[in-house]
Amino acid sequence: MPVSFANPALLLGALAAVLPVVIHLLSRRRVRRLPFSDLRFLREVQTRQSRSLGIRRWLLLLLRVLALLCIALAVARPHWGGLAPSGGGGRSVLFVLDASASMATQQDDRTRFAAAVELCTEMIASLPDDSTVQVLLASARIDPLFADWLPVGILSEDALQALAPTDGGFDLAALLREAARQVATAPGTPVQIVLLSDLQLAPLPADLAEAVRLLRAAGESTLLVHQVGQPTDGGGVLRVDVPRRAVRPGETVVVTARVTTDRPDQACQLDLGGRRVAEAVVAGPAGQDAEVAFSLVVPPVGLHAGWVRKPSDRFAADDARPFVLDVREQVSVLLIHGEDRDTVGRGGWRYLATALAPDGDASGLFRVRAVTNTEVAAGDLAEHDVVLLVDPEPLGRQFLGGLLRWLKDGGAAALWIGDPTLSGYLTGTLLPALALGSEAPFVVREQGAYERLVVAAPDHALLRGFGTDAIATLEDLSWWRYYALTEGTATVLLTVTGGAPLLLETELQAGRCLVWATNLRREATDLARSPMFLPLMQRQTAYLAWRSMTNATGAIAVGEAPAIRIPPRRGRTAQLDATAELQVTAPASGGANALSQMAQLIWSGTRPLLRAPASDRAGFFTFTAAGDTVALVAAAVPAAESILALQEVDAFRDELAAAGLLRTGGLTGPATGNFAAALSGRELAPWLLLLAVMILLLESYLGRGSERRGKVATPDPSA
Amino acid sequence: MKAEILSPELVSQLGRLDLIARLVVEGFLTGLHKSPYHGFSSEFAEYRRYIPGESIAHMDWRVYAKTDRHYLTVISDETNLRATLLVDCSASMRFSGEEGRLSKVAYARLLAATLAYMLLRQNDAVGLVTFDERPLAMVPARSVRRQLFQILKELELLPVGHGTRLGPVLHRVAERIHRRGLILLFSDLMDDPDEVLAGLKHFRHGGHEVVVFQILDPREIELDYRGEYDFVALEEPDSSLRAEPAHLRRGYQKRFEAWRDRLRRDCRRQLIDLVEMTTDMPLEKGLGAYLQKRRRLY
Repeated sequence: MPVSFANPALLLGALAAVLPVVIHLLSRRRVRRLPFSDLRFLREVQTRQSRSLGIRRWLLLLLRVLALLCIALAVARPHWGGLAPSGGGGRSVLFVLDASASMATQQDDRTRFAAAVELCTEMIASLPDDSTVQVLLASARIDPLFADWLPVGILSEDALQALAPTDGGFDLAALLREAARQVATAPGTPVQIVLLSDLQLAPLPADLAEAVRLLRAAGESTLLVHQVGQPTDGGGVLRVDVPRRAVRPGETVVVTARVTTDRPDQACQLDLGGRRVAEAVVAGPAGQDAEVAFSLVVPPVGLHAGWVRKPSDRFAADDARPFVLDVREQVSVLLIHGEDRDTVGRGGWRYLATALAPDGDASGLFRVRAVTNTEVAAGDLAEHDVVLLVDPEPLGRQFLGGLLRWLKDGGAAALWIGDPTLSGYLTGTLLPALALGSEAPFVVREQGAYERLVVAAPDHALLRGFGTDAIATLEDLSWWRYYALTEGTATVLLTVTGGAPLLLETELQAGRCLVWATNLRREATDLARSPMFLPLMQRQTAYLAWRSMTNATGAIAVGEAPAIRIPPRRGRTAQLDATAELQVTAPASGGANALSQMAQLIWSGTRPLLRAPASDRAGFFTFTAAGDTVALVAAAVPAAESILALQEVDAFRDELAAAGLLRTGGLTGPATGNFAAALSGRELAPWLLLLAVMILLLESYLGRGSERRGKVATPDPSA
Repeated sequence: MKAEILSPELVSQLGRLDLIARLVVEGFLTGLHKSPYHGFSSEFAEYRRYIPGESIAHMDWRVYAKTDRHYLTVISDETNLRATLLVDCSASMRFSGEEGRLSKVAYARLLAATLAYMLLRQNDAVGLVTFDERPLAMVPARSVRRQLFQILKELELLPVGHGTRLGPVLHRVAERIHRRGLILLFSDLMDDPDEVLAGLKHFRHGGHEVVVFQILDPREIELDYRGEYDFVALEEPDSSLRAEPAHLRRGYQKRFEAWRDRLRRDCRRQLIDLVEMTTDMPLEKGLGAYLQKRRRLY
């Protein structure tokens, strides 16, 4: 209903409108007899005016009734378009302060968040005394500011002034779910939800409709949206890519970052361990979305925290992005192979072992342990970073199960299959277990009818960085014998010229597995004799080692809770066990003032799982045990917060309406007045009173009729 | 006691007309700085030849025009002014717009009594005629002292009249007053202006000087009433009109004023003094108007 009344009981005053009618009817009976000297002048005038007198009399009556109605309505304090509480109770207003990272953007000498807090304070102050208020701080996590709904009178402004925006994103679905919980406990209905947000342009969550349904089911509520801040220019560091492979100390690697510049020829820097170690300049005009490459000498073994920074702009939170560089002393490789049988093309695993550790060098990056099927147990897997399987004999059920669990927990493996006698085992057991097809005919080409290698995914981390000559060398390789694998959901990295996949990458939950459709014997390919063999095998193993480390040193968005399955050796280094006291320092305001607390250690599967509560600041979660850093996780501002585009209120409202939110209001411009108007509606009482005065003036003018302005001041003898 | 502060309502409470007239006249005369009396009226005796060097003030120019000789008018006998008071006591004169205020006829009676007293005091001859639609009573003009009591008696016994037919009445009265004199008419003149003027012209034709005291009630002029009324005509009790005066006021006042303008204009043309009085005015205004007329005449 567009019109509501603050004092509906006073509408009974509208009954006073019948008074003029009653008076009119009574006065019609009170015609007094008046002897008069001469009637001729009266007669002359009355014949001319009697008709208009009748009309005027009724018009006067109408005006008097209207004037009284206006006054009665004004006393009832009507409001147009307001969201009045029902049931006569006070209204409940749920304020939602968007505390996402983009609200820290500086505008008009203050942040958007400060402006939102000020607006919220003003809005609360403008509420009627019988209102109750709750405030939600909304970012990646939704926190009620008060334990329960509070009356306006006891609300302290200090509680709002102490708030600050986080470095996290804005989870609208989580917000609506929390709002639903608050609506269900609100003392008054309907609940007005006032969202104060910059409406950072971000995709709506997939579960928005469900959240809206929950909100609607919780009780009657309406949503008012006020946009704080305007679109602004600026840049940010949107992504940092460290080498996707295991690196060795002293090695020179390239760290790349995706940067949006806000100034021409903008310089960016890379900090590692608190020191600036590299710089790069994005040449060209401002506003570029550029890839910046930093050349970096790999520091000593350990977990290293680093930042890629650009000069700060209005929104500083996205101008520095953290990353973690995990420098391992060695990658432990478990090379499992079947029995050597030359007749079926076995024994190529030696080429692989030599490529990873030439001449048995144990000081290199890879420490290889070559074993046959019969010598290995599932328990051995946990002590290695990478597992390489070369023409294995059929694996026992227990070992295969252990291998799959190890993979799913974040392990990384590579499989070479080139023994045609194992076709049944491969297609019946191993390949389906690795999410590949169950049919893989063995292809044999005659000498001279070989097939060449084709690079199908040159941008894959395994192949990126190889030069043109290197790729050409790879593609000059010949292939005679291979399994024609079915790719399924796997990613094809290399094929033969006939199109059959030669190297595929499959994902098994957190783990990865590279599957070669051939082995390394010369009867199958001349790969092992190629100059590209050694770098390709080392790159492959380093890549797999990096995949296995990712979960220990990954990057998360602010607001996400870190959950890390640390590599087993790192856990053993820290002497982690079920009784270990694991500490975690989470990012806090200012970055350096981290908060130390107990981390959760879960022993399940093949690797210990470390957990910690989420933080609302960008920075690093550092897990330590007995003084040793066992894991490091970088929490960065979500990329969506860095996109400095704001969504239109109308568009946002339309999207919410499409998701099923029935009614949303719009608050634009200076907020307090609009808020009061949106909440209580536009007060009509002054206009009604003005209208009543105008009606009374008109009534007075018409009622005077032909009276002269200067009346004779004689009392009415008949009154 | 200053005469100006004697309201008609106050002096009317004295009851006796002779006392009222005396009070008003004495008070009025006391308030004047210089006596307005200018002697007595004169009467023609004969003509005599003009002797050069004499004043030409009494030269009879009409004789000169006829005979081409200069003659002076000789005043042989000085007599008192002959004044006749004509009091309208028709039904419309009974109107009083406010409780406690004198009706028009009561006011006319006081004013007539006062003037009669003043005239007799200066040995003028005073007569009285009362009328409504016809002459009701007539007291011939005399200057004896008893004349005042005769007039006052008639005024006190003023009957309740009926309708007004002012024109015919004035004609009839004019025919009965032969000697030239001063006609003092007290009436609201609520009649056809043409007929009223015709009657007054009859007096002028007879050589009379005429002063008309038009007596009205203030509420007749303003129509200052609120509410709805059944107006009943005093002269026609069966005739009524229902109206809200507030809505008729402007038109009424316009027409009423036009009627009064017409009377003023016509009286001026006929050299008739029209003294407009309302019943809330002091009586002295009427005395002042009379004395001014007297001054112009003699």
